[in-house]
Amino acid sequence: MKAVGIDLGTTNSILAVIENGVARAVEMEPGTSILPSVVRYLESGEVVVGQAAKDAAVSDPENTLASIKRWLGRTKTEVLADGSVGYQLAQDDTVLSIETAGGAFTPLQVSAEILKHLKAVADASLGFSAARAVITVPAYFDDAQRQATRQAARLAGIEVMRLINEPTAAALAYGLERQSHGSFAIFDLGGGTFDISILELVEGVFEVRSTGGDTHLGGDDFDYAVAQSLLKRGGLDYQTVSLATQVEARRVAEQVKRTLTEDNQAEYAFTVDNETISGILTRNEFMVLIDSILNRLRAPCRQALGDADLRADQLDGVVLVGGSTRSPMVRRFVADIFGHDPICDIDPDLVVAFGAASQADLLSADSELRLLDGGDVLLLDVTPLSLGLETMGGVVEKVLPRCSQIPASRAQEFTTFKDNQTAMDIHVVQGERELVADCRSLARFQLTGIPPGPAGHARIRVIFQLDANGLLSVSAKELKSGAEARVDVSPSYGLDDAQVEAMLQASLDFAEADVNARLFQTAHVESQRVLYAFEVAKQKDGDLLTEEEHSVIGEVIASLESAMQGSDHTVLQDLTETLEKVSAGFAHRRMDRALSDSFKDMDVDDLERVITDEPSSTAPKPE
Amino acid sequence: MTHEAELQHWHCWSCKTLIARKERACSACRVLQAPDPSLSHFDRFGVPKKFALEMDALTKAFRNGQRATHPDRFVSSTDRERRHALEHSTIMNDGYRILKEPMARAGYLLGLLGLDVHDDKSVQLSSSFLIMIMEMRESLEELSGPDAHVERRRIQQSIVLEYEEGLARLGSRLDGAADLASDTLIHLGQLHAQLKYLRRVLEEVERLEAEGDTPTSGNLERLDPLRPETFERKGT
Repeated sequence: MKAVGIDLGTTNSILAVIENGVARAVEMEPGTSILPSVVRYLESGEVVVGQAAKDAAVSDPENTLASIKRWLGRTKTEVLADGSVGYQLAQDDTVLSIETAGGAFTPLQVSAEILKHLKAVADASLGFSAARAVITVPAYFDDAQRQATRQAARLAGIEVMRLINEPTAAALAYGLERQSHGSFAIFDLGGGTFDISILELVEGVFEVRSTGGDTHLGGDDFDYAVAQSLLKRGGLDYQTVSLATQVEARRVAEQVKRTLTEDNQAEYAFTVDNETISGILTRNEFMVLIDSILNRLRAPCRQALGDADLRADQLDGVVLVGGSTRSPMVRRFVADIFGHDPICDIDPDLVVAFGAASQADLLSADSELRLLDGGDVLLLDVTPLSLGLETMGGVVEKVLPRCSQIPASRAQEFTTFKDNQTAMDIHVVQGERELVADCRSLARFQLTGIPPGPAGHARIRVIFQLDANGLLSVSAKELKSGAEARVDVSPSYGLDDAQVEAMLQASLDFAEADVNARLFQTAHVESQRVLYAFEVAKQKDGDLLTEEEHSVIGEVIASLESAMQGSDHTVLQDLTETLEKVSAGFAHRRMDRALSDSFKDMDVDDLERVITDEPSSTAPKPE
Repeated sequence: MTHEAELQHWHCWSCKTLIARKERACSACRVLQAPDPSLSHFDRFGVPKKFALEMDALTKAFRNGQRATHPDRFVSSTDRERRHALEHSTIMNDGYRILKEPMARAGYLLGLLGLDVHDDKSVQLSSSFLIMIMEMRESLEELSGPDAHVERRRIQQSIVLEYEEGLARLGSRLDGAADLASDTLIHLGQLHAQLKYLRRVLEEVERLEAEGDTPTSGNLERLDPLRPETFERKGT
């Protein structure tokens, strides 16, 4: 089955596909393959996506949502902390959603609309459905932002084969066309985000050496700075003018910016409250305005070089990605930091989508590129942010440092802090800062059943596992008793899976049967898990079951097994919960017994034995 | 078959053919096998079990291994093959990380020889060394004024020399003898631990240099030399 590549951008989105071994962007509107990432919600319930929505931004700013990707996967608190929001937020303490004439929508739903539109247009023009895709994300996106992207795709009816980092996609697009060897910096300045990655390309293997950037820095900031300045020239303050004026000023600012890409000066004229603000902005004046923004690009570049253990002169080239790199000022700035004239042969707006399409093709069973290249292209990616645990005093202990190659697994041992401590809170965080408060909280779970003893006596091994998609699971195990707990990190930005499932159901574009099938599948997996866990427990500690429990549980299991043959997910969910409830007492007694090898999952165990770099791991395994 | 040969073989999980454990894929049915947990990282990459390692050979073996087993190569395979691909890829990333970095490689070699460098009890450092490190840190921290930068660089260079000389010594001792006496092993473990302290000081100097001349006490506080575990985790 064929798959597509999607660049879900802050300002623009593109869908591309490999045809006859060549990447092609699908035309979204006559004459352009670029879909503005703008969604307008009308009172009638109609949703307008793309250029038509963008055109309405001035006349209907409240209901026209742009640059929403900046908020994807962020909590309401985080978004408010960023300052000017510009939209009417819904009165909800936990979930961030934006009030429009058509209702309140979360950034996830807005992103899903953009993806849905891309898919619908592609479905109509391609000879297949764009139901499977590789989607790109900024390298600096954290776990919650990645999860949110996945869920938005799910909501749009797209199966995500892989999320890949935008800079990596760009390298893939260039590498495939040129078969380059060497070390490259990928400088990606989009509308709202900045990414810098250092990659090494050898014999068809792309190895990401380091990555960095800023999720709140991009070409929009240039527009904002210019808009502020233009209004100020007209005696107005950007912060106090109406939303419509802000939008209009930014639109003019964007035009001025574009003109300055070619010319040394740009004329501008726009009307605010029947008064015309007009004048000329020179390139030099523009440079002064954006100077502080450009300077913020410097530190991430240095950091990325340092992480890759390279000096700028050891690079073989700098690849430009993102519309904002069209600006000659940005190009000069790049040449200045890296000492290289940047590479920009492929359209910087399309290069990321092309790379995503290449990766989608390579991950497909009937890959075209694999046949052409002999299947030798492989992507070795790294994790962009450090992952760690909270330790005493709110300090972060890093377990998987930034730039670790993925898939990765790393174990670290911890111990108890108090005498007779029988439980331990495991708080998983992501980020580079030392204090938990400055990092992003990903998940919390508790390890119970630690045998009582003096502080520092227990040995708790925590294992972090990151798969090739950069998704994390964490398990903790007390080595003496074998007590174990684990968590697959789920999004922590206000929406839980149930809420997303609810949105899925509400999504009218889905045939109801489809939704039910998916929900049933999910419930089925959960039932299997619970049944299996109970069977394992019974085999081990069956003697702890009372006779009454035995018969009650037996009945529940019988109905559950018959429900698993059916198709109703709610029945399945209810019965699964019932089984958990009626066996809770049993589970509790098992916990109390603190058996040494309960819940043992052999796979995790095997992996653990082989991944730690401790000498014991190399001892021959007894047969 | 001898007992030893038996240990080096197992049955393919899919077609049950007896195959060498070090084979990634079954020689008969080409199905991906689980990685052999008893294999050292050196054997896994097929490079000599030595400190003096040829980086190009290691990198090449790593890339070839990833090319053969990376999960992206198995997206449409069976669940079990996909799991083994993940295991292979993970373990190789880990092995590559350890072998490419000299200190981690030395620690790993010591581990293969039977010394756990992560165990504080088996590797104890003299108090005179710890005091020296502490004094070194203090003098670095106290540097101020216009000459601070120059003086810091001077101290840095002398530590770099000492570190590199120590690392070369550790490497040649590790590669020099096949069987090290246990007291020699402990001695090498101590040398390894000392080098970790020195490297940590160097990292600190670099951080101070990067920050300019405004060291915050917070930075140094966390480097309590009497808590070797903080080094351990940063270092390897």
